[in-house]
Amino acid sequence: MRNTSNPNIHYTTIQVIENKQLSSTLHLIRSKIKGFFPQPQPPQFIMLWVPGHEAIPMSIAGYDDEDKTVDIIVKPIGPTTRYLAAIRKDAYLGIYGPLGKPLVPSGKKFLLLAGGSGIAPIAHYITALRCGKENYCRVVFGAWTKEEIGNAGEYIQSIGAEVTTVCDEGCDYRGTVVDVYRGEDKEEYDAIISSGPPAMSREVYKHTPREKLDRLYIVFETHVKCGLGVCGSCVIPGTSLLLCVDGPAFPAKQIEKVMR
Amino acid sequence: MSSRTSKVSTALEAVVSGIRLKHPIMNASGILGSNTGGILRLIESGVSAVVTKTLTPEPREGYLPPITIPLGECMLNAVGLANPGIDAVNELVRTIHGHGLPAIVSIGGRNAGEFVALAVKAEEAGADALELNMSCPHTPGYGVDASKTIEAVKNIVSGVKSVTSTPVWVKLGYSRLLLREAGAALSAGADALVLINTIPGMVIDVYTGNPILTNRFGGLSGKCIHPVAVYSVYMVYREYQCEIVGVGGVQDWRTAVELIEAGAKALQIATAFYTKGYGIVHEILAGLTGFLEEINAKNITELVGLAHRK
Ligand SMILES: Cc1cc2nc3c(=O)[nH]c(=O)nc-3n(C[C@H](O)[C@H](O)[C@H](O)COP(=O)(O)OP(=O)(O)OC[C@H]3O[C@@H](n4cnc5c(N)ncnc54)[C@H](O)[C@@H]3O)c2cc1C
Ligand SMILES: Cc1cc2nc3c(=O)[nH]c(=O)nc-3n(C[C@H](O)[C@H](O)[C@H](O)COP(=O)(O)O)c2cc1C
Ligand code: FES
Repeated sequence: MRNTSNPNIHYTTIQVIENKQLSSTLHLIRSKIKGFFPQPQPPQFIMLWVPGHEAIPMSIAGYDDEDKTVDIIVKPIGPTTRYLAAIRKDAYLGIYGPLGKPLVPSGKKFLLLAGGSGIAPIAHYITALRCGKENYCRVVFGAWTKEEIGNAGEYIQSIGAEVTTVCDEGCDYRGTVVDVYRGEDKEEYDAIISSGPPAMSREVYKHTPREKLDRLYIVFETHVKCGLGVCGSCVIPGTSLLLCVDGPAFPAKQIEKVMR
Repeated sequence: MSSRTSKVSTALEAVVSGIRLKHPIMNASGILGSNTGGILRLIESGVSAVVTKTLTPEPREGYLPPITIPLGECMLNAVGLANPGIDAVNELVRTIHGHGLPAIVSIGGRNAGEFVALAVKAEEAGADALELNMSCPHTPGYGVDASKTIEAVKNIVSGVKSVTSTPVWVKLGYSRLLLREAGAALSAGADALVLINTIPGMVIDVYTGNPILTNRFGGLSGKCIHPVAVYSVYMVYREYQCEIVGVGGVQDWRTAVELIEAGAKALQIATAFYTKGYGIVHEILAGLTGFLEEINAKNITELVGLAHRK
């Protein structure tokens, strides 16, 4: 069913089907969509309402049009995300979206850099870029410790990407995502997507050759409140860009000001 | 500046309380006008004046999300007057003036004394007009609460008028008291009325059985309230033939013209920036120009109040 209302943003209840712990800090929550929700594209996100708590922005980590399910990957850092990390099957939540602008680069070979909960939009990219099918994707996934990586690497592998994990000890590589990135031959890839803490993306930007910058995309975060482009809280500092309308991913050149 | 903006013909010029606007379309208070980046975004969209977010004496965080619910071509919101406080007014006005546009500063106090103090600061900052928010429906103490009685409306407006020479616009919402409030505001010296604010509403999630907004209820806006806005502008214009800025569900040239024919000299838009995107201002201006040509009208002012012709 195509919905022609513009924009195509809807509220629906969802019901938790499964809450699977991927690592010490990452929880994959799959939920049944109880109403209408349009097909999202990465790196679109939702406002996820936890009744009794807040609504918070969450990347869509997966979407199944046939089963009518939506996945999120949550890292508990405050009251709402902690509540979510412990949520049980059958609980009801509310979502509205898809929010933000689809940004799916063209090409055959992709390098996807993920730090912490930045892995969520990357999971969605893996399906949208048809990784492991027509296209090749390599994911470099980093966190501080091996426990934080947990089984998330296996999960990412299972949906179609080749994965290198990075942490302080016991992962494929010791160090940070940026350490691995520096050693990569950027020329090999049609596009590079960076999704992680701002400090990580800044370093990625710094270590990208100038001529490759127009193939670098950065999934950014600011403080999202409405998600609809009306409240102004998500403005990218020093610009007139709204993360919730123009983002959350940007061609690196568009946000050079905040990357420097 | 885009070439489309500069092509706006003089046929679209509007004047409200002596302020000359290159065309009738402004943003409505509450859409992006609370920080520099947001104001720049509004200016890029081509508005003829920028209306700030309602500024209160102190900064306000507002309610926790959810503060908005998308409802097709409409929206329900209870932002809770989140704003940087009146002390941000200098920077906001400077940004707006830096781009050569009039700055309409929306202010919201809890009583006449606060409104007066806010008005003084806004005038000092160089506001081209003050818009008194007497109609926010969801923030205790402010908006409809501050102007609960006809007496309060009168006191606030005459208080503000007594300390400022800047034009005063009074923003009201629809209620059964609208005509009386409008009359009170005008007799206290209001230079123009801004009609209408959002209308109270609630959305309940049927599975959880909870109202979705953190504040439980909020204000409805967008296409759903357009006929109410047209009615409100029509009734007030019929009674007072005053200067009116029409707001509520403007989302294309047709909805814009309806409010003008009901009696509005200029228009404001909030929700359509979301439902139609930031190209909305240019789209409406192109539509208005086409309509004037189609009906052979020289300028938009010919249409003001057309619906009242006998
Ligand atoms: C577009 C976008 C996509 C996101 N996707 C994910 C995801 O897939 N998985 C994930 O685990 N996290 C994601 N986040 C971050 C997530 O929204 C925050 O972790 C969450 O809001 C924290 O809420 P809390 O109540 O648990 O913690 P709080 O105690 O409220 O906040 C803890 C920290 O999170 C920041 N924060 C709080 N509210 C927001 C907000 N509304 N927007 C941005 N930052 C906020 C605060 O500044 C603070 O540093 C995303 C954020 C954005 C903007
Ligand atoms: C998210 C949001 C925030 C608003 N904040 C304010 C505000 O601070 N002050 C005010 O006077 N009106 C506020 N309004 C009301 C609008 O200015 C306008 O009167 C109303 O939305 C109807 O216009 P629309 O149908 O074009 O949205 C707000 C509306 C919305 C949707
Ligand atoms: S979060 Fe409100 S404008 Fe982006």
